[in-house]
Amino acid sequence: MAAETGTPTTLTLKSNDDELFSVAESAAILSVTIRNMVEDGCAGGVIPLDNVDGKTLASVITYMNGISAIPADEEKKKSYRDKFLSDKDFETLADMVLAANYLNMSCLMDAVSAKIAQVMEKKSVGWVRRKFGIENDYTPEEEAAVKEEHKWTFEGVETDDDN
Amino acid sequence: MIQQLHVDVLEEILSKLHVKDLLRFKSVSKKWNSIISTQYFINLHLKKSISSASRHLILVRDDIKVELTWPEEAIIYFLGISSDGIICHIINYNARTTICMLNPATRVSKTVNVNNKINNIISWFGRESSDDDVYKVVLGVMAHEHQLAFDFYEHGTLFNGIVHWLVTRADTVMDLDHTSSSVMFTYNLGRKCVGEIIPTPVNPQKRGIIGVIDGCMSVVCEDCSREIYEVWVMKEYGIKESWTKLMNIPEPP
Repeated sequence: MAAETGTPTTLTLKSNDDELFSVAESAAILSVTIRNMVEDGCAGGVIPLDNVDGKTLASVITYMNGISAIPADEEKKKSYRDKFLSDKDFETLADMVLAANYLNMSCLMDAVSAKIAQVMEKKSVGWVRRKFGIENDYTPEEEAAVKEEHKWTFEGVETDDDN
Repeated sequence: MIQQLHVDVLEEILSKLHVKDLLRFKSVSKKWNSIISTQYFINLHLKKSISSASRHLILVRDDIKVELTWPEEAIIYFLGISSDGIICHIINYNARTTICMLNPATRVSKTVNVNNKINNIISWFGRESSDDDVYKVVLGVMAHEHQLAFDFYEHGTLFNGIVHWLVTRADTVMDLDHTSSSVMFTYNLGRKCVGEIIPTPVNPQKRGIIGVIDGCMSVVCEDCSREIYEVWVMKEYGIKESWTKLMNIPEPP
């Protein structure tokens, strides 16, 4: 119908904490998950996104609008992505990688996972366990053995309380 | 929460890390250790590393003193065969030959001893395909009566499961009327046997290097008299008549 009136189609997305967002269909279909819904004709009303909270969804929509406004110029898109992610902390990046995976947005997924990898550079084992919420399931002997095997990789690691 | 991270998402993130960070993070947990250690993940990481802009090139000088626990008396027969960042050295001792493989990124090395001194060898080191888990070393010993003259620094070119070396028929090395040509000596990795000898358009007096261009075997050879390099491709594998000259490249001034 929108095509007939000449106005761009707008979709309404709902986060898992019941926030509603309006976004242009042309930007939203960067998400394969949403595109499939649109193509199957199930995007008429509100699209519930059960795995994404409002704060993260707002950020993803900012990205969708920003990147889709850039014409087909991979250099410019890349510099937009770099700038977009530059001020995000680890927790935000973690939420975004989960959202990008759920929404099936490969370009965002690629950029966020690269950014997370960049943040993890030179970090201690303790830092990774804390940030990723991982429980150490090694016995002290096993852990000492694994560390001993790759001893040189512990040189030049950023100092951390429980490294 | 990030604890919900699927293994494939975690692999995506980890595949973008440097090897040093990855090896350290084997200590994070048993699960991380097992993810990082799988052949699938290693191949994924390799593909990412090869396609990334930050590739490293290791240049090795001929007279390098290798900082490994190799005996002083060892003669490094030749250097510089590498595949996927793994360096393979062949070392000749008085009575035996040692093959050393070193991955500078992981600092892991492996050594294989061969209980024969292998002289005059041709070699190849690599994988048959990028999905293959196995690296192979092919060493060729020249029999005295053999009529092929090998260039010992020729490291072999893999094409369709067959390794190729450019060689000259010994009886034609002094062929001054330029009627003979160099040939490709082949070894079939799957069948583990020496294969056909394939003709090339290269004159034995010219130095040639074989390779693969656009899915065809190719030869680049130097024509000193005309100060050009000729680029040839074999359009149909094994068919002598299908060798086609692609272009001439002038020698740089």
